[in-house]
Amino acid sequence: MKRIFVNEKWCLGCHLCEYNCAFANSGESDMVKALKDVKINPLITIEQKGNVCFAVGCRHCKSPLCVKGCITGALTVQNGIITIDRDKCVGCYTCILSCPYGAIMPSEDGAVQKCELCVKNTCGEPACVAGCPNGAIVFEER
Amino acid sequence: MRYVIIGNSAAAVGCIEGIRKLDKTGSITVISSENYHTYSRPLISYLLCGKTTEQKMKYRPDSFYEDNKVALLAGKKAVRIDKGKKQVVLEDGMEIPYDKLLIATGSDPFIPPIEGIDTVEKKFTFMSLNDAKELEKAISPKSRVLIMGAGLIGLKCAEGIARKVKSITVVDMADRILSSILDLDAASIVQWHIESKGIKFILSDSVVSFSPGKAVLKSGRSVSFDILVVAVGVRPNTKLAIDAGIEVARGIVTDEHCRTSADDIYAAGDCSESIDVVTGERRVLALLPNAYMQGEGSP
Ligand SMILES: Cc1cc2nc3c(=O)[nH]c(=O)nc-3n(C[C@H](O)[C@H](O)[C@H](O)COP(=O)(O)OP(=O)(O)OC[C@H]3O[C@@H](n4cnc5c(N)ncnc54)[C@H](O)[C@@H]3O)c2cc1C
Repeated sequence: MKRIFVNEKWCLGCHLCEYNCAFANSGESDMVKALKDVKINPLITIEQKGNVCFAVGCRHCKSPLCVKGCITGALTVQNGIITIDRDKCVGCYTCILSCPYGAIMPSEDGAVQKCELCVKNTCGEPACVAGCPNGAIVFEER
Repeated sequence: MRYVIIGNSAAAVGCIEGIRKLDKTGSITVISSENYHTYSRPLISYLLCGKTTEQKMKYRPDSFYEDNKVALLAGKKAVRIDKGKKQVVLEDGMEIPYDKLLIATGSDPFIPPIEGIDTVEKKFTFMSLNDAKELEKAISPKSRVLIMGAGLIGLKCAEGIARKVKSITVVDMADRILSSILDLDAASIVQWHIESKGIKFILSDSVVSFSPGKAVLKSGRSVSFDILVVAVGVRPNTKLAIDAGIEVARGIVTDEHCRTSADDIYAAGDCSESIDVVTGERRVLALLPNAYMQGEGSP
């Protein structure tokens, strides 16, 4: 299965992946409308210290602690993609505590949110990858 | 291979999913005293306050048993494990043979032997979907509810019914709420928040006797109530293991592979105890992720 991988050597720290992610998952068709005056809450985030920076998002682990620990059954693996049923999630944050990468986060409506590789929006392929200007985020089989 | 699991909750589901990763064809039989599809126990309070529904609180999809080729015996209680004949005997006399057995019986609420407690008519525990449904039937906007125990379960119950009753008083003998997980400073912050929702606490005190509609506390104070919820703690459900001569301390004693002292019998979840990697000591760590992962690791 294809997954998102990052190469910190190529990451410019431009945060475009965060904006592309927020836009892709906004349900809007116009980027300006989607992001203007909005404090974005993207599913991928740039970790940065000194000269080192890289994007961190869900790695769709093969043995995912978030899914095993989910108290409601809202997190499941569907065709290799770790998926959240936001309707079932009650926001207990057990997954946030158990994810070793910090890749699951709270959302505005109480449920948690996470990267689902853009399969539930209209992008088809991950928007963070498509929009990365330096090829620092890739979507490939390894 | 014939796998038999007693219990139908997180540890059992973990075990089913763990088995099916390794063995697609062996038969799996699940014996469940609760007559329900597997559901998320922690959600019973969310059900009462309207944040979930019985359908949404199912822990796995409707097709779960079919998808995993599991025979579910719902509403059936296991009463005996016969290690010699390698079979589990049900209340109705049915005998279920096993090659590998998992005990995933969870825990039972502890009812303290307090004078007069048997005479309390509207008395509830808060551990199961049936408990939640019965409590919901009993409460009204006029109810004055007394909850014994300011632990996670007592407070979850309070959260679930807070908007549906007239008043809630929580009594606990500890000097703070959530005493097993919070220190005094943290507990006082959480207490302040809960009090702002109208829930009252009486701490460092405990009920010594009940008379009709009234609880008398150690301090001499008394509390009038219509409905009592007992949430002072849980006990690992170890009876089957004890009767079968399996080693039990506080919970059913298990090793790092969830094996019990008996051949081909495993235990997982709230009924069992194992080594806590943080402290290196044996303990029952009654949390849902532990139950799932112990169940999953046992096959
Ligand atoms: C109100 C509440 C809130 C909670 N909130 C959280 C939370 O937020 N996070 C968290 O991690 N944990 C929480 N927990 C704890 C969590 O529910 C348990 O750790 C978890 O359910 C344990 O799973 P288990 O499979 O070991 O056992 P259980 O869920 O207890 O299930 C055991 C099952 O075995 C069945 N059984 C027992 N004996 C027999 C028998 N002889 N024959 C047949 N069947 C039998 C029982 O009927 C039951 O269905 C909460 C618990 C409660 C009550």
